[in-house]
Amino acid sequence: MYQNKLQRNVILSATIIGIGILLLSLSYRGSLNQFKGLISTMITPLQVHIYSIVEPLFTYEQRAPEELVNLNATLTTENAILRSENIRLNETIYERDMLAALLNYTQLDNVHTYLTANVIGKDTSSFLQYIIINIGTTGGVQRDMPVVTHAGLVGIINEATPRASKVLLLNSDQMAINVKVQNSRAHGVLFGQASKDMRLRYILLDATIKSGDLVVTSGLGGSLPANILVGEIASVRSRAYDVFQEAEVLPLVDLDGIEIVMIITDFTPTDLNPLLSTPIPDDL
Amino acid sequence: MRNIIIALLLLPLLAILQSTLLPYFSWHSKIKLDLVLVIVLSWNLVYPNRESILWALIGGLMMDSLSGSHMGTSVTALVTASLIANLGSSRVWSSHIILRISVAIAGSIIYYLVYFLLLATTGWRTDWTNLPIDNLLRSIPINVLLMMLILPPARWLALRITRQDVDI
Repeated sequence: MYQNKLQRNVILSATIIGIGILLLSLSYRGSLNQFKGLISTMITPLQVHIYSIVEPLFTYEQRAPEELVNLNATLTTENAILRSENIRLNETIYERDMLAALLNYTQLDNVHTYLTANVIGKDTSSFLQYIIINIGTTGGVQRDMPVVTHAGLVGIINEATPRASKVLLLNSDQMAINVKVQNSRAHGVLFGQASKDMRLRYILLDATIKSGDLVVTSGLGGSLPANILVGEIASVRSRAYDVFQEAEVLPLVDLDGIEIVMIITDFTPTDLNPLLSTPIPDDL
Repeated sequence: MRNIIIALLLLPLLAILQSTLLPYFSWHSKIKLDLVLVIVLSWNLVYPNRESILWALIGGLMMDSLSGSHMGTSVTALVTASLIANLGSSRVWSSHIILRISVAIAGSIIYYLVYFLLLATTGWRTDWTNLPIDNLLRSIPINVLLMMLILPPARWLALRITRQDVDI
């Protein structure tokens, strides 16, 4: 009897593993977004409620009155706008020098509109770097929108359900961002790593970069707006026999202790796929 | 049936706690506690019933919905790990501390390996060299410790909610 019971359990487990692989396959194709959204819609209110209980227990600062909290949120948003403006002005100086001789130059407007959201959870897996925020598609959030704080870039919206969204953090090993070093104008690609720090690669050897230099988004590729603060160079590895130099970059945002984020809602990522799939003429 | 009802009530709550509460105990990501995994393993150890395997399905679905991974990743990993607990348990040995520790270690290793393998299969960039240190060594000791704490109340609950079958 015990053997039969064991056998039944094994058969049931194998069946559920089969179901799991089927779910995985459907999810990989994007066929389960509605199902995932349904589960998320059901559990998000409970998650928000539990977070509202848990968060004060681990926030050691004295609770401020509501007016001060609101004022703080307003000032934080203003600060983000001013920092963004400051970066834009610095960029403008460089660009003015470069483009002074050109006519009909249109300066990109870098002042964004923001939506503030609370972090209500983190990824349940230790392999993945995601946070969950309490605003979803009903609040105007869409996939691929950039997420920032007053200190700089946090990540991008990877999945948006009606009431919550998942943000892929910039130090995730799934992340690669086109950036430039603000002082030297050197362009490179910033990769997250499994060890949760970030590595700046593909910087030309003749570029002068040093510890303390700020790294901002370059806007290349069209997936992120230009000139969002990303991090600070911690160390540089430059060897004469290498093709490129590399740098270790520390994020300016405390990604472990993040509680409130802002979503840039007026930026639409550029889809480069139609350009990439343009057929090459035969005579080339 | 009561077994499933408890799972439906308990596991979503535990998955949410894993997402909201446990990050505060991660000590800057130095340790990682997998509450749902430990609960599912413990339950399959104290109550190796067919319905207990469904705990892994429910827990996996909840974990996947609170994760950036594809739906089905945690389900598959959790069911595979819980099968170890289910097979490893018997009337005589299920309360032995060596078996408990072995199940916690083997279950955790299998869970992480299957999960990592599925991530790699579905296109995630994975670094196998970091798996032993970054995840196994940081998670397994705490999972074992938690399992030791959870098993007595889990056993008590199992005895309360169900009549013990006698295997002859």
